[in-house]
Amino acid sequence: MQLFKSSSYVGSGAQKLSRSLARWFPTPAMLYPPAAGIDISDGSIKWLLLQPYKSRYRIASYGEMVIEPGIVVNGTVHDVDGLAHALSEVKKRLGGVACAHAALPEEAAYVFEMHVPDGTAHDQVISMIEFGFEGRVPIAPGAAVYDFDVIQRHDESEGADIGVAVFSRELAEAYVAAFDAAGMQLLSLEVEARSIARTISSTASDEPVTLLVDFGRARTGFAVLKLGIPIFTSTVEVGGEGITKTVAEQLSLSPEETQKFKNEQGLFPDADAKPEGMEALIGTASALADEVARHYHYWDTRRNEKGERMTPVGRVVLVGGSANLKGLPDYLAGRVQAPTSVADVWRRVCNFDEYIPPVNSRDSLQYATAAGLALRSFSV
Amino acid sequence: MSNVLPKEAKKAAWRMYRARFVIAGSLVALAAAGLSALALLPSYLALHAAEPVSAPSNTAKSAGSETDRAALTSVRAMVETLSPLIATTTPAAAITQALSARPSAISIDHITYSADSPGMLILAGTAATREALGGYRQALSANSLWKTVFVPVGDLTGEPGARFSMSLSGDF
Repeated sequence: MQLFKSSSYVGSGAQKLSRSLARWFPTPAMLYPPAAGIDISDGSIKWLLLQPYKSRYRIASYGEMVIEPGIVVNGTVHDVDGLAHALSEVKKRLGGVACAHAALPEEAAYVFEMHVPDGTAHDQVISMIEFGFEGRVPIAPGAAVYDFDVIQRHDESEGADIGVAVFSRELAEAYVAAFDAAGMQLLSLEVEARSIARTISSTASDEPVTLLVDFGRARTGFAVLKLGIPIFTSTVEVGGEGITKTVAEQLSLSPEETQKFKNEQGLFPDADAKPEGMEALIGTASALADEVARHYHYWDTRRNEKGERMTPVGRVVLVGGSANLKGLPDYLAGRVQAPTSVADVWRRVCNFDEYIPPVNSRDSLQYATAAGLALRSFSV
Repeated sequence: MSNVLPKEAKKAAWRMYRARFVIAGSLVALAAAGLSALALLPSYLALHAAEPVSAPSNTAKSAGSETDRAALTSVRAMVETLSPLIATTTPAAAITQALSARPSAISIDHITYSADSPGMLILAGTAATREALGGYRQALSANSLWKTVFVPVGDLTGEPGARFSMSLSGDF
């Protein structure tokens, strides 16, 4: 089957062998330059640069830079020069690294799953994807950029499932222009959920379908991951900022105290906690839980013509800066009746016996996308 | 891994990879050329060092022609120059020893070496006197480096100034 020209499907044995060979005979930096993972959101740019260390990697550089409001709005670049200026500031902190991998926002993505017959050539798959636009993507193929990852190959020559990501060409070109103007070589663009999935997915063939919840400051992104490949993404206007604002106002707390309250009291406060703050927390958590449950039940109960469950969701994984709200995983687990946990962002980055990253576990949730992008440099 | 970079940006990335590959390839080729030059440098220096050396006085007295003397001088100078580098090269050492035992009345103008087991060295030239040729043969026979020293009887009994050849064998 030739469709695996850009495939992410590699047998685990081959992957291990490849990793061992790469460790002993690393590709010279001159041929394959190091590249930072750069996560651009409406409010900030986060970057993370990895370098090989012992059996895995270590963080060479990381950070966050706040960008002016209006430069990026809902993931769309409104001010290319402004973004380029911010990126050039980031470049100065990368220690001479001028290449980057970046992610495009889920709001602008059209992600779907397709089945392709066995023996389909890469170009034919691209043609099939273009046909698949109808009814799924409201953009003409000529005005879109798209690519696919192979999710799994079926036995007995029954073909393969692929996850397709489509974006508007204009959006992608704006990102490319900003990186060019900043003097950075952009090596790849991918959907944000794919980057996060790279950090949390085990790539094991028996990994359950995962509902990824990226609980951010202003919005929450949902992605259904099948073996680490997104087959659906959406965003809702529920974010942690609302909680922060309400708690700060009602309890008259400083931003630091509010953060502390969210992280240490959260949804399971001490007996002497003020009920006003709790109401704000419960209100937002409930709205988020409704959305999680809606997505979860839709995907969990989808059945094919034979009546078999197509995407039985096995777990819910939380990432994003607002996922630190104490008690949130238990609260959501109670609502969707499924295992729910906060992601371990460093799972594939480092082994804690060998290296402790300088970013603590709470802050690491904000770097999930950047870490996934940085891992891309190492073909993880 | 999927990559939704626009085509032009993908091409730019590939151009960068290609340029880096070409530069890396060029550097490897340059390094190989440098190593080759370094390996050839001693020979080059030896050749050039041999040119200005004037003929020593003992060879001036020999019966050979000016050209032969010049060639011999050049070979000797080259062997001397290269001696630190080719100290372990037994054939070169063997030639040096064969030439160093040569009396002034003997002129060598041709040396043939064959790397058999044992190695074989054939010296050809002219002998001013029969005694000189006999003495040269005896001097070489006394050296344990040579297993056999053979001079055809006809050459040993030849006229003064006649040509001769001498076969030397040994482990070199």
